[in-house]
Amino acid sequence: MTSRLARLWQPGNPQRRVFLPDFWMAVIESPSVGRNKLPRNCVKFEVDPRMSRHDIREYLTKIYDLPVRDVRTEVQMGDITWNTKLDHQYKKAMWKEEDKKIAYVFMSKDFAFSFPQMFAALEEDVELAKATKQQEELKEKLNEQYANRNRRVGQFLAA
Amino acid sequence: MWRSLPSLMSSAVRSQNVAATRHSSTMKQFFDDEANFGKAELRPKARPGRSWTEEELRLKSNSDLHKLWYVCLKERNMLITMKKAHVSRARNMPNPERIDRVQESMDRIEAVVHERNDAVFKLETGESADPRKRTITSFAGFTYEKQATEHYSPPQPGKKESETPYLDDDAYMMQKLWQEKEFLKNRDRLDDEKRRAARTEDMDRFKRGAPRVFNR
Repeated sequence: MTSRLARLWQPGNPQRRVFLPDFWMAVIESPSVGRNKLPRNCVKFEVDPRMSRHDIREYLTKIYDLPVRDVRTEVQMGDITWNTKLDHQYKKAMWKEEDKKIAYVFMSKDFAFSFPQMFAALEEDVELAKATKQQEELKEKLNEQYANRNRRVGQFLAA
Repeated sequence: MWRSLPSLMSSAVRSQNVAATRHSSTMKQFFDDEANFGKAELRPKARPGRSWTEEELRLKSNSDLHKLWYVCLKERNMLITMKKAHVSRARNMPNPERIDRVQESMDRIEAVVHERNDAVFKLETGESADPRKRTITSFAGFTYEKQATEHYSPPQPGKKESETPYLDDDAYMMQKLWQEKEFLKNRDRLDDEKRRAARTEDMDRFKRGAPRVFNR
């Protein structure tokens, strides 16, 4: 695609500009208590692994208009599934999950962000109640199916 | 526009609450509408329609496409955020097909921009905007198309990859053996297909072999 081609830069050329960036960034929930708790003005993002600190800063200030002060990135290695985990001599990697790039973005001091409560207790209870009710009904239906199974009543009388 | 705030503005005016509300609304762009939180599926009226088609996008101006790209980008970020939030709680995201719809739209915007770019390139330079392709013969004798790359300096003499009309001995033998192998593979494949087509249900069911016909 034309808009994705990066040309070699020669002295005198105009600065390279990206008109249609296709990086993604997602906000991730960070623990609200404990030693991994983040300050109020810090937001944890999972970002496109191709992004650099500079990209993240430009992305947030120019597209989202956020007051970014500092960006710290971390690459988390994906988990490896071994065929025999404990056999150190002959173990082979069967699957490796993709690496993640996490960005801790520090905003200006007056900034405050907390991850919204998406799954309120009430909503969850409603879903749970629905599921349990459905399971109860299913149980009775199953019972009806199996109640007279050993007596072989249906085969002679009903048919 | 936090950076363009006039410096005359006293810090008292820029109180914490004002800034917090302003930025919290910015951060809301990363999250879905609060009415959709915890829903298994969106209400029919709030459900997304379809993605933009190329025909519709061709009617739009360049600046409109540019704006639409950023709208889609923000929407995709929002959807990815919601997806990750749901996955971390082992829940299903409501209407996950939204991600695909946005991605389709973005791909089509890129395609339309490419078309326009291509037209300009063809008019002005006579070449298309696609990356240049070179036909190259590899050391093993395979000839294929490869995307040309830019270099700061011209290649050393004899180092430039190109198509070779005559293969050297090793490459020639490699090609001979390769073709033989491909021919045998293809023959076996056709053979298998024929045998599979001749199998009937009875042969599977009663473990019978194929009828033997000698004068076929």
